[in-house]
Amino acid sequence: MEPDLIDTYVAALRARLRWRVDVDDVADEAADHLREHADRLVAQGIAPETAQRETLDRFGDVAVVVRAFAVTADGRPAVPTRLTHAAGVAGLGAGAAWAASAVVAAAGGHTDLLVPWSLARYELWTVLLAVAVALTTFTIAGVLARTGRLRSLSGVTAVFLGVLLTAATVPLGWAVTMLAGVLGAAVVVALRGPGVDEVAAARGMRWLTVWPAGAAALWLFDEAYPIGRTDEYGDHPLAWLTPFLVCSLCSAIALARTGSGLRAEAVADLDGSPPALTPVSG
Amino acid sequence: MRGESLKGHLDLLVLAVLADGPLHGYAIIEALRERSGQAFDLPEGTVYPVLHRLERAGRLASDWDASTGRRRRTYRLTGPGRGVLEVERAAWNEFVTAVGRVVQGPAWNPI
Repeated sequence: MEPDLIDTYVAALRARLRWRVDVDDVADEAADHLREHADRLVAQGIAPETAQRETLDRFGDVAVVVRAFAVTADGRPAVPTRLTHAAGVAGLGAGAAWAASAVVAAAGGHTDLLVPWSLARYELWTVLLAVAVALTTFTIAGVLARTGRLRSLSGVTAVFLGVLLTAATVPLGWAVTMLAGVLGAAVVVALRGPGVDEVAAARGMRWLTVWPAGAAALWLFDEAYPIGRTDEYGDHPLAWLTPFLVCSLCSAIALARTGSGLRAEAVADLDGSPPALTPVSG
Repeated sequence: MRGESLKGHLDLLVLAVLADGPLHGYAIIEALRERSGQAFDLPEGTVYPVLHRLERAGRLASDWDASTGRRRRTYRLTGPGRGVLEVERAAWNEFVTAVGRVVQGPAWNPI
């Protein structure tokens, strides 16, 4: 049996909504609605093709329906785009950079806890940190765009803080746990509210809350209840290194998962041409 | 009434329609059209994103059934959804009463 107008419409809807994880459910639900209405019209004596055309008119153009699925309750677009796809690639890079910065820190990048400290390793470490923070900021922007929050006040603030932190990382690398703590808190604020959990890639970003916790642990064990030996600057390397390693490794996992999630999503087609409706056969 | 006017109140309208019992998407839209005196003129397909959003927010729940030969999704109000409906309904009644008093002018008093 050849596809009729409703089949063609539903196929077009499915193709244009393929970025949604529940695309099959949406298509089945639309098909049920359209068949129900067309059947009722046919039962009233209307010709099948006329019934289907009238049904599709009432349901709305594919582009109109796709756009309704592509925006948040307050009308902001929240779909996979080329930006979110690029942010996925950045996320994978950020994950690798965080993991590398953890390895270099443990190998004497900032402390001489495990092996003797050296200026060359410190400089390498701060460059890795700057790369990690820059790519993390791009990934954050992608997640905010994907969830319709990039242009909100909290979204702009999070990205601005990320840019600021990137610039501050090289001269202030030793303070990265505190600085990233502020960024992590900003991301959590920006991603609060409904609509985030349905975007699988966005869920991982909540792991960045580990940074404010790490900053608190650093203050606690470096200032309030010092642990380990005291170095020549009066700091406690163990209190510094432990939270940094935990936070950077958590970030490596979170960013890699977020990145692969954003990359896996098909870019939404909101402006494609309408389906060519074929006449009912027979 | 223009569809755009209804659009801002769709959440409340959908919750109100489902207060009487579970319905599938087509029946919800038919009820919206019927109970609004045919004033509901939004493209019907744009109601489904609203249903899905309300479900994600925990105000609706849904079940699939294939006994008719087609997969059909039926929505129902959840406890939190019913609570939201009561609050929104009270706020709406208060709003309509207040606006009505202003728009209709003061009551005529012959004394």
